[in-house]
Amino acid sequence: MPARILAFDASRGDDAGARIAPVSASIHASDRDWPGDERALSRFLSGDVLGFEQIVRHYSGMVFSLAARLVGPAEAEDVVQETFLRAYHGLERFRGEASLKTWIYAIALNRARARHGRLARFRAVFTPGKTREGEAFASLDDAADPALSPEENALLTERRRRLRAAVAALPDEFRATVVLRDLEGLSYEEVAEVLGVPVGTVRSRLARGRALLKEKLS
Amino acid sequence: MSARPDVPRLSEEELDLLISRSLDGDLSPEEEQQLERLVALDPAAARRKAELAALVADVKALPEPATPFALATRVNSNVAEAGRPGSLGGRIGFFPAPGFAKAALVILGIVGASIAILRPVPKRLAEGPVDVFLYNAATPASPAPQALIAEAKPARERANGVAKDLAKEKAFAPEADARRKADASEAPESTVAGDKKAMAKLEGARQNEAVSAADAPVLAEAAPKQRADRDEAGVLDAVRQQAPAKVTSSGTLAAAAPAPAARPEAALAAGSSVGVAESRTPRGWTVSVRGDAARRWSLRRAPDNPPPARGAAVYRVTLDASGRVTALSRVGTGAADPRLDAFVRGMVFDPIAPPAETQARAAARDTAAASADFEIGLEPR
Repeated sequence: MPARILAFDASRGDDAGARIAPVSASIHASDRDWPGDERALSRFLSGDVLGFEQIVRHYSGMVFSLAARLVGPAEAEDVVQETFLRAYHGLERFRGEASLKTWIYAIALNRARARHGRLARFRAVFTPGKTREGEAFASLDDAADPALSPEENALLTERRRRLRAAVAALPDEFRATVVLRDLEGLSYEEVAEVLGVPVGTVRSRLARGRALLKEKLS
Repeated sequence: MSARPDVPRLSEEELDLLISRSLDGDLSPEEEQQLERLVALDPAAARRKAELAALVADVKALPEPATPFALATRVNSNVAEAGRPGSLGGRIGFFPAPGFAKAALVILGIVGASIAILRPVPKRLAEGPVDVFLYNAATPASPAPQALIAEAKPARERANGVAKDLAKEKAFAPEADARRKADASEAPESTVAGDKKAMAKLEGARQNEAVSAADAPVLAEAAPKQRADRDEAGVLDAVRQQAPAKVTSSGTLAAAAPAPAARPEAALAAGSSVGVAESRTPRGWTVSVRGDAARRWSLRRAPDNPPPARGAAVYRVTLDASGRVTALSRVGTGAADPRLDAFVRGMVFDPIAPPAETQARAAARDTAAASADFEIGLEPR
């Protein structure tokens, strides 16, 4: 059993930061100790909670990255929470037909889509014309490359913003395919597993999505 | 894309697909060679490939959002709080939001209360208070007060409804009507009834001798309407021919005193209702149920020993599930009459089915005449 320690939750607090909450964490659990999908899964299914904690530690960063690219960083953590909560309750039904990674990605994608749909409807009513995803990524895109001149950094920043806006403006099926392949680095087969479509569909969607991106940027 | 015969012509979509797969290393060696040949011979294709390659490189180079500090710890904490795996909701993929249980309970409570309030009450277990109006027209000195007559209107309307129901019944069951007429012609000493059950009921009422058709003022007011209904229905033709009986304002069975010469309607219409009533039924009473209860209850029978008629009286009674009087109080002024109190206490009432049910019963009687149950009838004495 993992030892229960008091963890300082700095990301939750603002200036106070300062919520000290008892959280369940393992002193020994870190991504270096990742035993692999199969062993972590069997450990969890045998009743050891540490197995699931290892899964969360290994995949939470990837899930957050995907969610941030789909719904924006501000909402991404909620998507991560929902994703692993569902995975926790559904892991007993996981039959191993797909890899654990694509299974979790599929849950995250569905959660992101559901949340994005709700957010899009909400924003369409209350803040029409604004894209919070773009604002949320602004600081990320503003990061300067020290190897470049200020002018080049400005051009780079502008190009990133346009590119991110173009990706965000893609139709959902093309956007998910481009993000999973080009940003998350999944293979065609993995993308097909996550989206639940044939590999041929992934190929065509990817080509079409890239062509649409090119049109939007030109 | 190419005019050369040795280079296959590709549409723009096919070229994009080939380039896209090439950028991902998904092409077979043969397909890769084909693309290279195409790019070498077609500058537009070469430019397209370069543009898409730069685009994909740019997309892949987009900065990755940094994972928040202690994200995994927070996730694990929340998951641990959410409960053990294998819960019923988790097994079926149902993860309710916080407060869902409370909201569901509130909604269920509202729905349950709505059902309890709005559902029709199948049958009253007890009724009360019910106003019962007794009026005796035998005493000329105490004519029916207009207020009491007005109060008896709902009961008269119900009587009219009963007559209309009988008309519908006749329309549904011409055979039964014919049989009723035949019965009436064969047994002139009896009142008209549709079948054996009605006859049995009528017999019970005759034995009880509880109510009469002597409520002259009330009937005087109700008679035209009743006659119209009867004419419309045609049900009581035989009644007129057989006996001087009439339908009371309550619509219940009324036993009339022997008066072979005159029909009560005619007497009432002639304006001599009091005299006629007095001469025929010196001991008669008309019993009406007033108010809302008139739509739910009708008099079934009354004690065999009615007290001598003195004047109008109004009682408020409470009924039990079987329609028996469990409590009573006299309403309005007037001397207490223990015998009249006992007479009212001995009354038994029948619940009245709603109109829809009456129609259904009429239809049922059409096919099963043996189950006929009329609420109207008369008896010569």
